[in-house]
Amino acid sequence: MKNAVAAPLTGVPTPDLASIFGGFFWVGISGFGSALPFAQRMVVERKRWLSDAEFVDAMALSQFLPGPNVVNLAVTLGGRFQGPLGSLAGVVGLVAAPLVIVLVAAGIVARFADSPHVIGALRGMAAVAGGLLLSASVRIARPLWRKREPWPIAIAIAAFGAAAVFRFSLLECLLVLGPLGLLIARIRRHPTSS
Amino acid sequence: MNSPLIELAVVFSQLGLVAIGGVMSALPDIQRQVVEVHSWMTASEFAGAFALTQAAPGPNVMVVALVGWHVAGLAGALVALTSLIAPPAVLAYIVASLWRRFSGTDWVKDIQSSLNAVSVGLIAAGAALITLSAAQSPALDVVIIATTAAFLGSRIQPLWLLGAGALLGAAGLI
Repeated sequence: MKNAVAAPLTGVPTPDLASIFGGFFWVGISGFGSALPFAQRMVVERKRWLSDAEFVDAMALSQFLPGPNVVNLAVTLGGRFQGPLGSLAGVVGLVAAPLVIVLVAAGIVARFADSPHVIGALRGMAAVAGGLLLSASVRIARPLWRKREPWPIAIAIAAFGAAAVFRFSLLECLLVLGPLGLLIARIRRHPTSS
Repeated sequence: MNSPLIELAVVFSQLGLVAIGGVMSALPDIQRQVVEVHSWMTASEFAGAFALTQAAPGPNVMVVALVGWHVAGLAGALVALTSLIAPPAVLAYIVASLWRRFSGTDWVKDIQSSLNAVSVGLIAAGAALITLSAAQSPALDVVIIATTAAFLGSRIQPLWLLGAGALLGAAGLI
């Protein structure tokens, strides 16, 4: 797919496979929690593969598609510069080191699984992770309140209830609420023609 | 269908393709599949595994590797992670070349705002489920409330508070 291959910013050479691997390797080992700020730093500031606006557009695509957002970014950028092998280099670079680290950590934990100290440590960490997730949810929900449109808030609350309370599957939530939200958005955009 | 590796591949390849909004929106469904449907982990084991991935570098998707590792060792980790990543990666590769034509159109904007609203609800649902299984004592409830406030009120690195939580827990204080 040669047409997928494109150049980065003027004056910056097209990144080769090693550079793609290395760039996303750095993102993988740097990103605690969300890797996206590190992806922005690597792609725009350090390597100058994309301008700010191009990065925002690539990010919009990665969030629009299913799957892990930062993995999608590695696929689309790697693919843009070096085709399918570039995508592979980006993804492998991104996940290789974190995979080894998390498996070694889990192995150590499993080895001392009977120790009350290890059980207690995991319990304490899980509580902090709960706090981390709750605060992230609030941060992500804030822009919905600022828009002052009631329907996205209603859709979000319905999705929360469907997934957390009624335990509907992700697919069921998306198939019902996604089109419903889209329908409302279309009607709000063209109120006269409907 | 008895092989755990095949079960992992089936479950996570389907989850990857519907994980719109990223792994965090899929968290309620990952938890449902892992804890309720397949009983691979208890709810508190899953919360512990998730906490471990938050204390380690790398994308949130690593929680899936830990589930696979728990079920079938190293092969399980690789199968679970690859199954979740590969189908959406292929889709992303194909769509990327078409994206320029549709990016910024009204239709795409409306689809994005609808999916974003669904994601917000799903991410909050995942947070609620993980938090409920982590809230096992009044002291842990206090930790959850205090850390939520700390993360909202400051830009503190999660690793510091995760480490503090681990120390307090290891010392038997919470």
